Amino acid sequence: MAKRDPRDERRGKNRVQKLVVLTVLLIFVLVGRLFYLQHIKYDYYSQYAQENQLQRERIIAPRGLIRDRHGTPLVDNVPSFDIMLPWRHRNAIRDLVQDLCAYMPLDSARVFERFEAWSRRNAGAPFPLIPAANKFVISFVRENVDLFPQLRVETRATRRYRNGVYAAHLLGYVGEVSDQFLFENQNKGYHPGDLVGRTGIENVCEEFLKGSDGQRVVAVNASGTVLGELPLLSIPPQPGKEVTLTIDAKAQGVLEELIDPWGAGAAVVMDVNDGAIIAAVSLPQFDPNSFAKGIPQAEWDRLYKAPEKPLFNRFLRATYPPGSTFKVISTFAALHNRLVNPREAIVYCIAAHRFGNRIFKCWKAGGHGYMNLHNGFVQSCDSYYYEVAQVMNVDDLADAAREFGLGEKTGVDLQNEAKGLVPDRKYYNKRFGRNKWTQGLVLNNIIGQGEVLATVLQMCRVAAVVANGGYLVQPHVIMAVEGEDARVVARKKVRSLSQSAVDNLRRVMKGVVHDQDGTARSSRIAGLAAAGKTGTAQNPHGEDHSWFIGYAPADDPEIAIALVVENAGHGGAVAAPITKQFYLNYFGLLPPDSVVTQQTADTPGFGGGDSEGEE
Amino acid sequence: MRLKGDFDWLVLITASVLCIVGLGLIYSVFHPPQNGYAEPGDNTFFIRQLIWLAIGMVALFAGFIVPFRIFEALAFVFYGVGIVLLVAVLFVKGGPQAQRWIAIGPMRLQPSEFMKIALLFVWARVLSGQRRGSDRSQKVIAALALSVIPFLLILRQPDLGTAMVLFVIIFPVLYWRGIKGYQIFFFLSPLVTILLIIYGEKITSNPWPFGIYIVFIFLVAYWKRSDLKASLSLVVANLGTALIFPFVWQRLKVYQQDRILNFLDPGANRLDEGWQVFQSKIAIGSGGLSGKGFFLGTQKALEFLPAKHTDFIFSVLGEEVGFVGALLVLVLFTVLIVRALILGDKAKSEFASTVCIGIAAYFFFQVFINVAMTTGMAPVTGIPLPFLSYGGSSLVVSCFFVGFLLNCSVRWYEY
Repeated sequence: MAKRDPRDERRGKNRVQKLVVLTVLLIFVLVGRLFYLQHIKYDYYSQYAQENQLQRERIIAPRGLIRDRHGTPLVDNVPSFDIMLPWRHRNAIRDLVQDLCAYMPLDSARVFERFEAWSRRNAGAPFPLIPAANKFVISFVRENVDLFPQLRVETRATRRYRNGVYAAHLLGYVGEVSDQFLFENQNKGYHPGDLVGRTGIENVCEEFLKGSDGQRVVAVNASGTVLGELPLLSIPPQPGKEVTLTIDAKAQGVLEELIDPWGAGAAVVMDVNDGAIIAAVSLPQFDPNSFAKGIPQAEWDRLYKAPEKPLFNRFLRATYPPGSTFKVISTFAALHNRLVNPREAIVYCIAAHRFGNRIFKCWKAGGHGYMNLHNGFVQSCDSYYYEVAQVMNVDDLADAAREFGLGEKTGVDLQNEAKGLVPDRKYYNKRFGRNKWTQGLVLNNIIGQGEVLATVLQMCRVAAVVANGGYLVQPHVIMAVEGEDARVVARKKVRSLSQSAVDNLRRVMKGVVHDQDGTARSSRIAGLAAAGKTGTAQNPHGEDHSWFIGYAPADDPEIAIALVVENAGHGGAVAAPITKQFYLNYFGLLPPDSVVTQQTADTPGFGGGDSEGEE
Repeated sequence: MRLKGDFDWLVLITASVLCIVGLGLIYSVFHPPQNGYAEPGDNTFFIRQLIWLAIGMVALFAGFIVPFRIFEALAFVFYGVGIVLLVAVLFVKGGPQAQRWIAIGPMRLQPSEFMKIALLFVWARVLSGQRRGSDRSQKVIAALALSVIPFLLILRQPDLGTAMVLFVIIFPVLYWRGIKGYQIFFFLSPLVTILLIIYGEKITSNPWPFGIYIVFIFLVAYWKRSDLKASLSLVVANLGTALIFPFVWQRLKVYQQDRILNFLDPGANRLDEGWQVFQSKIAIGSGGLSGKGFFLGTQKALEFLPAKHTDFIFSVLGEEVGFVGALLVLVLFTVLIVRALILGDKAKSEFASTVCIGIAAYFFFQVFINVAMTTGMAPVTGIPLPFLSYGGSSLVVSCFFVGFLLNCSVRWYEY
């Protein structure tokens, strides 16, 4: 193979010499360093290696605050006190715990169990003998230093959710870090026993909220006396960054209070122009404070197994049949595909519609009579939509739903969002087999009652799309991190939504609230034009779910809302009146002396369910 | 193998002594003097290392007995296998830091180590050849291009230290293949500029290293003023980088900046690293001139001396045998490296000669970075010390290289 040429060899000689010299020189640098450490600084280093020991205390960085859009703190930290056992006294733990048991209730088996795990994973660090100790324990340990000289009381920042049972699914909670998490986040400064965000904003913003821990290194002699701090190795902690949400704390509270009497439900309020979430409610909920202190197993079991599922995020993860609120999309699909002339009355509703050999019922006993598009929507006449559905392609309806963002995640900055379901030809072919299903499915879907499923968040965005003139906004809750704007304002035009379709939808949605026979007429507010659509979603497990989606003010929309109240009956009877009360609060239209929630007369109209705040 | 007298006994003896010292240290690490909380008398690692050493001997023999022109012919096969293993390792999950290994029973294979053999072979193959001069730059580009894929794959693991070693080994090899020293410097200098700016402004807020560096750049430019084009482009490239860089930096999103900073300076980890290095310095410093005696180190028993049988084995060495012992080990490494350089000079085959220089560069950088790390002069990067650190892949690769050196020593006249 290649032979080296003689000129190269001459040059090579020179080069080898240079490389050898360079090698020896650099190795000599190492030798010099060794000589410096081992001879010149010998006394300095050997003093640490003798009876003196270095002790390292980690200073845990306080977690970042969470504020609402106006700066009101929602989550902060309060000091809590741990009774710590320094690692060098670990051999005394058995005697210590036995002695302590004489003075206070202490589950010694549990302490040993934790210690076992601690010494396996976190050897060297002080062991929290009694984490989050109460006042009695703290003062006892402080007053009896002579009995328990080894113990130390250490202050730690504990997470405090200022409003208690409030926005729990949105804010999330913190919990002790899992082994899995530690494994996946090596070299990020996590240690066993640390608290990390488990759900909600606490989880999503973990990297910002965490901060970075500091440490204090002290030299200690054999008897445990601190000789001094080593400033070079001590690093102050850096607190976590502050996260500002787009949430309006007051609006969130009002909405929670309004839905709370009904038990279970969910609601989302959104800025129609940029998708900023102003309130996001999921009820029933829980108190995240109980997690911050380390939740007892029994309490966790109770929450986990409760039939009303308080840990389940209903605005983000629950998918509901949208009921008649889906007619916003059905109407768009009908207009876009030119299936109807908006002015033409195409059906005479007699409360029942025959399709093939099946009867599809309209909700209103006695029927609606002659129906055109406007009345069909405003009065939510099912027969009108059945008539349209007969000529509607299943995929056209599915496309319309997808244009409005159903059937896929909205991409909101929260974890584990549900996708919902938009059934199309492919879906039905797969589920029932090719040609084994009929147009009847479209008749169900067009009134939001078939296979179609949506989250409250998705439906809120549907209302926002109509309100802002056809833009699919990006829902988000994080407004800023440490004062730095973190908003995503990207929004995309719904391509097929023409201006005339938007105008039509706005007109009919306004009619729902403001027409004499609109299904939400009872929720009209003097001085505030609102628009929306009620929905009553049948569900096999019980009473109908009450839906309302809408936006206000109708002529210059600011906010969109979607809410569902589980098993509460008609949308016009429960969900719409709640929206009305919310608007009154949000837009400051309440008379000065009135109370937020007021249960008064019942509504004329549907079902007979109670409504709130009827005039 | 006509010339038996050419067999380089010095290389073999040096390597053997280093292996024995390594075994002794690994045994010592797991047999602390006082019966502490470390598990007393654990022989697992020692035995595993013995097994690896047996495999290493096979590798040594293979490197010795197979004529190197066969390695030259198979260079790209080695390279392909190495790439496949590196890709495979990205898909293997399980166990801590699993992304650097492929586990075979209790033994772990670290493909990035074996990639070093393959890279030396392909570099040597690409850079050697009869024609020279006009197409030299093409050869250099080819060699650099071949390094990019493994470099990125190792970076992805992520193993910045090993990737950097791959990156630096090529420069002595290029130098050997006729690239001038200042050309290499020209090529590297803008990168150094970026690193120094980031370190100076974002991490340490100490602008001096960068200032000194820029003065140095001007001195080099002045020294090379006869080649005006090169000298000017050096200044322009460095100053240009320094001027443009802040704008590029500002255009990056905050999280992207964070990612880069964390990469160069694992911030949250700094607590642990500062501690590790300090403990390592205590161990070495307290060893003094003559050490505390084999098996008698006290710091190694403390729970804080990290990775004491792998990356920080040199701390144990410094503690137990002191300056004299550590110096001896460094001398052994120097002998090995210098012998490799001399064999590279002697070999008639361009391929073998280039590989020898690469081997010298490999040993040098591994030793230099590791010792600099344990003595607190370089950031903690996880580079093992050849022959001494526990770890099979590194040992087998080092043994193979020794075999190759011996191979060259007896076949120096072959082409």
